[in-house]
Amino acid sequence: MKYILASKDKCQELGIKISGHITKDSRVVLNEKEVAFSPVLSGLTIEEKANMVDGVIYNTASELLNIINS
Amino acid sequence: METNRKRIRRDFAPLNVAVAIACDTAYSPLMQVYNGSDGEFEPNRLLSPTIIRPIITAYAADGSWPHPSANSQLAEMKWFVNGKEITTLSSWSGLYEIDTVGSTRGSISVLKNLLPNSEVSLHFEARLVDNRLGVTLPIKTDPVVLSTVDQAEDTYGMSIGESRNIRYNPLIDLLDLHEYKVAHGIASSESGAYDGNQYIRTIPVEMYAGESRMTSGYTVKVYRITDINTQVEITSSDYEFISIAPSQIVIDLRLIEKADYLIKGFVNGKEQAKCQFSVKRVRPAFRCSPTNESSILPMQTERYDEVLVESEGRNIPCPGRALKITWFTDTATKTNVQHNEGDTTLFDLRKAGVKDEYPDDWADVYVKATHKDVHCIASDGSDIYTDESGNILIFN
Repeated sequence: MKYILASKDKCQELGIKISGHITKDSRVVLNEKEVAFSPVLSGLTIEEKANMVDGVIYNTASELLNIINS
Repeated sequence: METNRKRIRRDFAPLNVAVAIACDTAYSPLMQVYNGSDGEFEPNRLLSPTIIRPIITAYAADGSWPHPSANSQLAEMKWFVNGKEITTLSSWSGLYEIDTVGSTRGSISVLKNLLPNSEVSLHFEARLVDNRLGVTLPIKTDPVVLSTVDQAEDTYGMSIGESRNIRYNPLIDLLDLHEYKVAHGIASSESGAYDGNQYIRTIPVEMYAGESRMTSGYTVKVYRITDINTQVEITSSDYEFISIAPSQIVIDLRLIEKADYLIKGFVNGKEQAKCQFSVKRVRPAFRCSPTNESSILPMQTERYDEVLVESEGRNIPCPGRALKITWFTDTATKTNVQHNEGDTTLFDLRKAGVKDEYPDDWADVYVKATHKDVHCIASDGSDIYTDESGNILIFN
């Protein structure tokens, strides 16, 4: 499963609820499933949808966990 | 000289409390998948916590409890894992957080990834503080099961396309309302409203071999869980099940009060996968009030009235479908006079006790209402009653 480290501000602008999510500074962690099925993110691919929230895509949990825990 | 003191208090109605539990994170559900090929949990709860929320609603018949949502009034909140308080379990230390604020107070964020092919049961206990009466009420939710499935290539898995905690609220069942209207000549169309809360509930079933969805080569059976060690297979005489097929199960929620079911998938006659779901009839708080506010005319002998029922912020049409509503009157000469049952009433003013002079020419009209029980099959003990088309008759 992929994970997206997205901008908190962009998520809030678009109405994506970020409470309950893991955050790191001004960023919030979304998972592939919630980005793929979000009704407010347009685009055909996960990359296009992630782009709407200034998201950086990580292909595995361990990659992102290293960053979150640093 | 001062007299003896007598303390007087406001008199409040006791609280009716409803308790439910739900997973708030569809993107991080109760069931996790462990992918053995890359050693990853999907999702990994350290990045996507699973949030489970106790839903506490309270209602006082006299309207003195201001907000139905009562999570903010919880105290002594405790979560339990397999019956043990979570704070005492070192294996959970630092892997959960309990929300203490507002309407989500009491919710738990689970950051723990369970071992593959394991499961734990979580439930919540607390006390609800009722400052009006100066008491606290015990709260305990049903358990929910957190589990992790090992999705190795040679293993089978099953999932359902419905919530694993199905809740049926008959008050807002638009299909039941539509059929009631058709039966009473209020509406004519034969098609009803399927808005997700209708009593006919279709549960899509998907069976997987590894990551591939199976389209054939398997069968399913459904079992009722009667206690922790006993499962009874559903048969054709379990009328709450309309149909059971490998790809979907259709149930009639009107016939179920509370039940836990297990769907098992079989390949070549051998059980290979299973999936549990539960059904519960919910009974939300409601308010009733008579609507006829007109005065009694001098020569009037009968009085008509109609009840207005409001629940969770909406008016409930034809509430007699789901509520037992009984009409009463009090007058100067007779109190607690019971009339008919139903959404409307037409009663004789004289028999109710209304007379002709100022001290006794009045009546207080009111209703007493309770939720009806779950529907039953119409039977004389041996034969099942049906209509002319063979449809089984039910009643409540």
